[in-house]
Amino acid sequence: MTAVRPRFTLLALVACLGLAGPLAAQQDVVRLGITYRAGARPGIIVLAAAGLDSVRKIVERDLDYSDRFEVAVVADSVAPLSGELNLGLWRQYGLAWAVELRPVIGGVEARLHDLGGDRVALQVQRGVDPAGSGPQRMGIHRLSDEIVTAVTGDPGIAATRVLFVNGDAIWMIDSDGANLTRVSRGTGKAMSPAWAPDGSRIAFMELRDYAGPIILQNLVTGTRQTVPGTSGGGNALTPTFSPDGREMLFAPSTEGGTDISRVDIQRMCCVARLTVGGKLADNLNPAYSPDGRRVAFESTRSGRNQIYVMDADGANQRALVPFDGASTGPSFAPVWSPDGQRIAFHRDIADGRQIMVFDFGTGRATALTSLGRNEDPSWAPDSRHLIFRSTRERGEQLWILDLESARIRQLTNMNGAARMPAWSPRLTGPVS
Amino acid sequence: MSRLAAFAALALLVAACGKKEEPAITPTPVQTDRPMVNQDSIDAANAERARLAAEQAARDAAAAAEAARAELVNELAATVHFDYDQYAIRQVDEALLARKAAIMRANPNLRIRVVGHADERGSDEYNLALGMRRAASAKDYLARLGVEAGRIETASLGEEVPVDPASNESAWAANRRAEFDVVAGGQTLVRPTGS
Repeated sequence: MTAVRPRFTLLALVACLGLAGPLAAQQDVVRLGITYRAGARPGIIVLAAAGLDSVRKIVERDLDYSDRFEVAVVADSVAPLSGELNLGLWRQYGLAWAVELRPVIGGVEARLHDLGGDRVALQVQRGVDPAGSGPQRMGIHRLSDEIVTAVTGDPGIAATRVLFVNGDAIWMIDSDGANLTRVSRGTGKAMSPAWAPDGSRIAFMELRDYAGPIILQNLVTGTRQTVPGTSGGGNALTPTFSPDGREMLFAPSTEGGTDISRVDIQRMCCVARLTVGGKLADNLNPAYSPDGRRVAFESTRSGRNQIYVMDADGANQRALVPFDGASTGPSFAPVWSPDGQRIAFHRDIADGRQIMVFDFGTGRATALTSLGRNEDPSWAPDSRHLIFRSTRERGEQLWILDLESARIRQLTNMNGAARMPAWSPRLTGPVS
Repeated sequence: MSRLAAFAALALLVAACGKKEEPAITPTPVQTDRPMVNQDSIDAANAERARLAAEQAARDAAAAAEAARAELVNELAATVHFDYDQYAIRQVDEALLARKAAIMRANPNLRIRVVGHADERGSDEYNLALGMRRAASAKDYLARLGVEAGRIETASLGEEVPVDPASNESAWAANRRAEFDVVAGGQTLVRPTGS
């Protein structure tokens, strides 16, 4: 998982380098074994007491993957943190923040030093396993997210997971690539995973014996239930939970057509049809707005797949992402950003397939990728990272893109294609 | 001595005196039309030949019927193909579907399943919907030719089961298809009349 952009690397501890004040922007300066590029992102370093190096590495990587910092990578030859922290040294390197990790009984204490303001901005203790393994890893990720929030005011995304399809099963992986686990346990082909808003359950379609009902699976207990209205034959496509977790939208696909329906997932009853394309149009891939009042979806009613929107009760169905008859490529799989500002989707363009973002502010859609075939976008909870499936490099794997820095990193390395990713909400509860 | 004994002695004497000549004894041949024992075996051999011939004829008839049934099953199973992002039945496949309809009309116990497939373009989920359109389109065509809708099931596997996993035009064309499976009633099949 290599980062594409340059990093601030310390090769040796040298005092008094005279780096006070920012260097000229856009200019790489090599001085005494240090490569530093001044930019808009604050520099940060993560230091840990002896015995906490694996925790330190997880936090350092989380902060790097947040794409909000220039993370100073400390070489192995640099002594681990012991005794008092030498803040003046890090200030001289032009860093803005220093994270100090020390062991306490039962876990780790983290202090976030504001080097410019000469204060401790955050001091928290967490019961994490110093070896940094197992379910305690999520606790370390929550620590990293608190650091991101203290610096930027925005929540971090380290304490999240991604569901995806590989082979016939649904798999799960931590956002930093650890803890790859197979989640679905049935026979047949499992597809189109979706998260419940509280992160405790997932839904997916299970295609077996020529029919595809939707399965609800509790992630903690493993219990499975079949969603009402999905087991009468045909395929129940693209399930998605409402933001309050009480309802589910899906697209039953039968010989009468493919249309979007709603079901009460709390009472497990009461299926209602929202679209009536019937024999004339397919409607699928519903995506709620974060306030639950509107639903974006994919429809062929104009002759080719394009992105539409409707009220959550099915009223006011209208085109959303502008298209121009036959000249705009078919557009698929809309997903609404958690902050409500954008819709990501994929579109066939020339010989390829690209991730597009429609911005409600500008009313325009732009391409985020240009190489190869890219599809199935899903938003991270921070509304600035997108995961998607791509043929760049070899095979078909999942890649994560930061919309602000344009940095792209590879998340999966599976045998066979990794597809249909779904990024979790922030995971706050106990998840095994 | 009695007269018999005297006569016997006289016969012996005569026999003894004439012993230099062999008496000519000629067995009288038994004249019949057929030997009784050979007729049974000939009858049995003929009956056996007839039985073997009948068995062979029965096997030949069964093989011919099975070949005819297999041919009908093949015609039922023949795949139809579709243009990119389309689900209309193409003209080149009309005769194939007409033949399937005729076989189904001639065999009222026959039930089939039509399974629609798509090539890998588009999105995985849309391709499941497109495959279902293709299955429904083939079913509608057969229903318009007089096959009861209740005897035709439909399903879609989208792009999940390609016949050719390559990413080129000929693979995509092969994957855009509807397949037909016999679900019930295929053990004995009769040819449609006039065929």
